[in-house]
Amino acid sequence: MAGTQFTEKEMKKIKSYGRPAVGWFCTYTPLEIFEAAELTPVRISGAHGPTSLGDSLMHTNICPFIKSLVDEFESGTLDFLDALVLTNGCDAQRRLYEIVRSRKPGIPVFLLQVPKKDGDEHIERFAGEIDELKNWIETTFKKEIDDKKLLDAMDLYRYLRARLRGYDGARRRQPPKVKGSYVMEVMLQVLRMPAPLALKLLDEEESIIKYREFPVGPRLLLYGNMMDDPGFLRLVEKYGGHVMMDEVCPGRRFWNIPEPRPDKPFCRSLARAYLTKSPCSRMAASKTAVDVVKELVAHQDPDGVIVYTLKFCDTHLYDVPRLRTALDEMNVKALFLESDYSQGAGQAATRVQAFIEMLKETRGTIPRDNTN
Amino acid sequence: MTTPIEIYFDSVVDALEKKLKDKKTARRLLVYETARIGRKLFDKKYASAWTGVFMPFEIFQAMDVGAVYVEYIGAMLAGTGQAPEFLRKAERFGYSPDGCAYHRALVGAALDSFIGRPELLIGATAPCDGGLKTILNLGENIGLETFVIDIPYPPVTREKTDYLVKQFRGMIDYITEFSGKKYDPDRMKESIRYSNEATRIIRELYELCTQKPAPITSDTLKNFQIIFALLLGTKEGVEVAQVFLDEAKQHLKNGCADLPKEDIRLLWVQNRIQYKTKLIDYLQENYNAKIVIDELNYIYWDDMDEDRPLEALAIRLISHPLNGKVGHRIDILKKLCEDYAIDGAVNPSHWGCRQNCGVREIIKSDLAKIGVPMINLDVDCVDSRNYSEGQLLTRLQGFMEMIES
Ligand code: SF4
Ligand code: SF4
Repeated sequence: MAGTQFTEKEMKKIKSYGRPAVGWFCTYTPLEIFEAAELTPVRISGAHGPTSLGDSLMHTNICPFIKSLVDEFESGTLDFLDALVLTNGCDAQRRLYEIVRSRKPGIPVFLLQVPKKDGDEHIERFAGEIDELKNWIETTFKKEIDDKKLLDAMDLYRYLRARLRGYDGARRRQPPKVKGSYVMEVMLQVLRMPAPLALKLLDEEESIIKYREFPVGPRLLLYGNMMDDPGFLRLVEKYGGHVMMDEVCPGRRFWNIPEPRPDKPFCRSLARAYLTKSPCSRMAASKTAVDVVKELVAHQDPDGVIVYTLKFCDTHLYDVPRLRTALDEMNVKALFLESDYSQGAGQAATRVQAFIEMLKETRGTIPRDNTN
Repeated sequence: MTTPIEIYFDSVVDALEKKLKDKKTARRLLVYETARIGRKLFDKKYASAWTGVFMPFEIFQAMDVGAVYVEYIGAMLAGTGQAPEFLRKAERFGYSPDGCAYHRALVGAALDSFIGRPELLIGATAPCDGGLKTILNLGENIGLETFVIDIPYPPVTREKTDYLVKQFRGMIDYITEFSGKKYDPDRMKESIRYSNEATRIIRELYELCTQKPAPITSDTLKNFQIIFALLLGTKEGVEVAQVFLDEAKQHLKNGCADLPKEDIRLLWVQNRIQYKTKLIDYLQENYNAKIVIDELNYIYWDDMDEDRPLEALAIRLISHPLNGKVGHRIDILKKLCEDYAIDGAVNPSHWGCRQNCGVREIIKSDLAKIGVPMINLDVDCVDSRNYSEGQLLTRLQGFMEMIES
């Protein structure tokens, strides 16, 4: 199982792929560029433990995921990375870039500027940024990324994302073939390995799930930001709930990207695909993150929604009142959790349990099969 | 329906009109003219807009758009002591108390119909996530289409400037579509001309403050440039700038004899505390310490080319010190420390301001390298509910003693 902290074993495993390892975590990072340069994308994350240096080097009121990463950097756990690609996903991410630059001058780091809108001029601008990222990777790793390599990488990721979509759909079968917590565990591994190996992992998983079946309790949609704690999903499962779909960064928000058109320039195709993907709440695009939740609710008809937001995350927290109203209007029961990443899943146990009990009483379990 | 804020702006304008007749002081004139901008929000001759703080205000002047940025309203509510009531309102509605209170106060006031409803909502991706999300949410809540400017990070390049100019054109179309106001290139030129004229005067004013003693009090230029942004591109702006400059010159002429003593020169980082506190008086009375420059009082751009106004404004927005990576902000802070012979810097670290709090330690250590100590306070500049003066005074005391030693 992939932990969210880098154990010695995991670092060794990443090194064993024989490619330079590049840290990333924002789903607007075009991993196709990494693949075209034969790098291993390593989704970095914090340790779900108390932070200390993150608080003193930044401020207590910064996103606990980011502070946790600062602690990881400071403890040297991430020194095995050969480079880092961060984005301007939010103010906290932008400031993480500064901390890494000042505290870890040995790690080359690129800050990818992702526009917040999805019109043509924004796509063009993002294409320019992706092109810059490509040049930076070529220089940093002394590799050449030609069109052929990029097109192959785009193909590979298109296929990987389609496969992830299929695998994810298995939890919406009736009965489910896979639990939500397994899906997240697999996702966390997939996000830390080269795409060809991720496909192998999915082959193995799919051969196993064929023979599995799980009883289904209240079917839940999990919506959130840096929700990368399978422990939380296990907690939901412990009380009889089933996270049949998520809209979180290491989940649907990663694989739900429109296929990039194989048109040149490829950087523009990638820019279009990424900017028009399922938006997170940082975006000011034609569709909002709240619209995404509404669509998912309308399409998937969950028994309940868990909105899991990290503390101090402005982009998500500013959406909470609107989400509340929207879900109320749709008559869907929702549990709003504002979590301090550092405390792990247990923190929310009582509320999760009460929420699931309430769902069981009010709606019971209704068999449905919806694999999309 | 007349909203309370309209009554407020009217009363400020009326009261100050009388006072200005008695005596024209720079601060009075500044407040008077900005209140008149506020009044434009309710004047049928103008389109009304609530915006982000980083805006090309000259375009609004040229198009007869009465525009105020949402943080201005937040600060105003704090200054008049009304913020806590609206903060509570926003929190009851589901807004986290951990966000920036400039925004939350405004949202609470909007929920309470305190400030009416604009015709236009224009946000920007800088300086912070919260500001943009506030504009977007207001749009959703009151059912108004918003326009968002995506500001790329420095350094300025041709491509980034063109990108922003294209968006300005989109914004102009949006203004025309939703308010009927048209873009007139001649008025735009005039607006840029006024803006250049005012900023030339302000540069001179700031230059005078490099002198020892600086011909101001700690509060003369409180929130100055951030408020002045609303007047950029107006004739009134030029007048306000001139009165500030004249006052400073007058003080210099008197050898600053009518100003409090100045032994310690301070730099204030980012925003001031917007409600009443004793901090500034305490610094002055106990240590003869004067704020001679605020970080946000810095004209970081050159005169703008009136023949290429949109391009010039794009360059100005991209190169704002709070936009993007922190490097160029720190370079400016260091320059200010040197130009103004600063003894110490105060950063209030406004609670909820991620972009500032996230780099406060980096700023502190970089300023320390040039021999300028900085104190990071932990305070909410708008929300006075948890304000603890005693604690802050104790911390400031330690800091000042360290500077003195
Ligand atoms: S959870 Fe929010 S604050 Fe944290 S990194 Fe993600 S978007 Fe930024
Ligand atoms: S204080 Fe910070 S968070 Fe608040 S509006 Fe200003 S830059 Fe944004």
